[in-house]
Amino acid sequence: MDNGHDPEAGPDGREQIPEPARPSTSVEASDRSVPVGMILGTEKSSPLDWWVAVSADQYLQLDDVVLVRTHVPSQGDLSISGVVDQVRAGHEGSRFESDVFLSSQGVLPLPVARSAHVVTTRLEPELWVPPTPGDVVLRVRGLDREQALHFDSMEQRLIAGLSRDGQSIFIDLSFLDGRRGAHVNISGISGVATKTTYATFILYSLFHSSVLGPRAANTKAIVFNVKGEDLLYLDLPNANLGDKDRAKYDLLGLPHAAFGSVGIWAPVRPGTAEAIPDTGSRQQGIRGYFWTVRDFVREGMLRFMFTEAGDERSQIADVVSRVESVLRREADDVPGSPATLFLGDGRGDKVHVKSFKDLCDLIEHRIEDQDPDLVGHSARGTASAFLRRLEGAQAQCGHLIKGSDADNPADHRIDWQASQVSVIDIHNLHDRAKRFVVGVVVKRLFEDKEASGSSQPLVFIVLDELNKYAPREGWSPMKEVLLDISERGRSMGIILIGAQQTASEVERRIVSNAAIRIVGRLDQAEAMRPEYGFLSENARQRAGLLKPGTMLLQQPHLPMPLEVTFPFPAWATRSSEVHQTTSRRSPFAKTPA
Amino acid sequence: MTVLRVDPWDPDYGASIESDEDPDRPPPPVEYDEPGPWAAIRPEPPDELPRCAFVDGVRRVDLHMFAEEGDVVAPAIAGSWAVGAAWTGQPAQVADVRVRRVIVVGNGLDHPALTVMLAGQKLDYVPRSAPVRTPRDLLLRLQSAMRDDEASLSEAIAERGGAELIIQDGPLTYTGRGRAPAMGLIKRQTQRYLDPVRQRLLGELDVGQRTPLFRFESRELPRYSWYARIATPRPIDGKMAGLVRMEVGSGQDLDGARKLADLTASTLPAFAAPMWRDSRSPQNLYPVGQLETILRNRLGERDLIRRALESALWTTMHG
Repeated sequence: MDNGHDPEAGPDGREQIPEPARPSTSVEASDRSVPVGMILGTEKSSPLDWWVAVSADQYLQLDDVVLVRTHVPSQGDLSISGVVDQVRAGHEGSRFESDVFLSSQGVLPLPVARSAHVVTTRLEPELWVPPTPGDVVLRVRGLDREQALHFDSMEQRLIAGLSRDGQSIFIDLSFLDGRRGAHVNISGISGVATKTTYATFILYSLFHSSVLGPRAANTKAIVFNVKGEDLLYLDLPNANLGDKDRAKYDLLGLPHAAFGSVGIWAPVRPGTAEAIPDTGSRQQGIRGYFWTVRDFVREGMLRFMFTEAGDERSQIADVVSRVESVLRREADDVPGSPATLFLGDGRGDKVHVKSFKDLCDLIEHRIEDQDPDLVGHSARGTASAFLRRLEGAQAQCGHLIKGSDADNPADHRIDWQASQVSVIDIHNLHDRAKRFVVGVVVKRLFEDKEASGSSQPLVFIVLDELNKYAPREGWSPMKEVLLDISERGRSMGIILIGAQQTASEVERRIVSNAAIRIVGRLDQAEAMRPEYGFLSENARQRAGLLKPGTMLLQQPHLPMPLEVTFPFPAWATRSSEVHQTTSRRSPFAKTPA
Repeated sequence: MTVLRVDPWDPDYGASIESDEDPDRPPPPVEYDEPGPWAAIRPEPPDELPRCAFVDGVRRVDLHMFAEEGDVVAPAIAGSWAVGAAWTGQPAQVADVRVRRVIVVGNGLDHPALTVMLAGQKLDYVPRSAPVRTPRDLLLRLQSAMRDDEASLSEAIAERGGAELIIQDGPLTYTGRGRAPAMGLIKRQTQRYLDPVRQRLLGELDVGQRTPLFRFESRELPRYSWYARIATPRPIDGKMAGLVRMEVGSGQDLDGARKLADLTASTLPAFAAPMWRDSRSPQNLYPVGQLETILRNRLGERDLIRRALESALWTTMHG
């Protein structure tokens, strides 16, 4: 299950997000900018990258933010800021590998040289001039650091986590909320890349900091829970949150609590008349969802049951859209029965369709009868392929469509407006049903937003396993909706926070439209693919070593990704983390509720 | 039958046994003070390597010139040298580096000091007048100035203390009045000191062995000397490969000189580089090779200095 943490270690089988490595310098010292070395002369400097020789009594590590001031003739002083992306050490004047043994035996005197490579992030003023050998390089803190990382020019900045040395890292909100860019894409190996956890941390940071201002109240998020039941506890505080974790939230200026306003929806259990949510470890506080036959026909949901890309897709899609439009045209409401419909039987009569099975039977009969409205000029083979799939869909998603057995359908229709964060569980569903639910919800959202004509309030969609919903190859109605969001969502106020194990398997335009790109631990071979072109050679190597809780964050301001760590979730991600005092199930109860 | 054997040095450095002078010129009078038979001595090596300061210098002619005064045309050179010490033990490091630059003018002509600007730094060429007529003699003047500087560095290190052994490159020019006696290490054997019978022992020395001491006087400085083998020659190498001659001023008493001879004979093999490593392996010891690399670097880039010198001469012409 992808709760984002390594399933190996920790008291409950979970690896704690490791502490960022911090040098053992005092607080006062670490708050000051300190000279750490000089621009060296054996490698050429350029305005875009340069090398620093590190003083014997100092160090530079990856991701350190540095500043060098250089004098430009007739222009005055130029400040060049950058981030360390490589550090190295070696013996100077050594010609043979074995020299190191001689040196340590005291036979061969060899000086040690340490140097760091820096990628420029900012030149102030903007003079594209390289620093000069001998210029003093400072490791910066405070305002100089904010300037180096362009944090000072972000009007609204979203807390993205902590840097390796315990400083805040921000995302420019204008690149997330659609003003200048939108969408987040997260890649990484399941289990160790902490994709979902980081996506929820971003949501937490959005909703529990002041970054959205008054807009926060109306901004909504729809989170699809695709694997495990990790996201079904967002509303409950994490009992395993330690003091160190709390300190990190304090450092970031975030509260350490559960999500404030959460609605959790799970599909209804198949085979029961009651609308019981089909979940394992938690049922209290979760609402079962289903749609009615009436919704299904009126809102054209049939297509989302045919989301597999196949060879004959265009012909089947043709039948699907014919069936959808005929049904919609012919449907009449049934007085006193809000979940069902009257539909034509193809022979001039209207029949009362009381269940999804009735509906499928009716479609089947009409197609077998070669009803020209439904099959058009499609070949017989296409029609039977359609029927085979309809049969499959009935078995796999049928329980999500209720007819006359629907009890109080309005209460079980997913209402993402009701809470700030709506978690929609699909993890127990068959793949076809997962695509159906995601398709229907996202399509509905898209249509609502399109109708409202305003990008405000924003809606965030968190969806893992994008490769299932928008694979690189083939076409499907699901992929079309997601592509629409990635291309037009920015202006409509729909922001996709998408994730996948491998960006190379996801539709290229969806990945490339994301302004914010994040990777957790990547497979080395995957990291070499062109989809990760925003990672430097070094960053690609590092992506193979990232620990849970550490991500590489790329945003448009900066020419290289920043390493960011985020604290252990303050909300529960499994039943054992649920705080006992707030648990609906009393620890003293004799029988489980 | 004549056999051919290898001299391991790089031919660019000449032969390891070489002399411009007649190889059969008579040796200085030699005394054999150390008691015992004339046979190889194998001293016990100490538990730990001693802390040594290897003192060496490098020199270079930056520019050949003519000194002209009226009808007199004399050779002149602008030269640089650097001396320093490579310390072994912990930490092994190169220290005490000094760089000097001189103009040596032949025929006894005089020239004022020349200051050269290079990359915002001043290089001061100090004038020296020499009553010599050939560029080769000027070079020897430069060489001996460097040697004097090496000696004065050895002296300074000896007075400062901290070194168990001070080993200067080349024949001894300094007696070692300080706390530690300075020794000379002669890499290239150019003069025969021993009679033919005793000379035979040199070919038979093993690594870590030395000859007994012998005493002679050179440049008015009486000294003890001995040969030691610091590396095992390959079977194809000549008998003299891997051999060095050491000397120490006879201001040391015989016992003191024997102790130093024992210590160097047993420890110097640890500093000897394998044959393939250096152009003058194994006699050019590890620390000395590294010291020379660093000193050469400190002399600066010759082409740049040459241009700076030429530019300074332009300035004096028009200036």
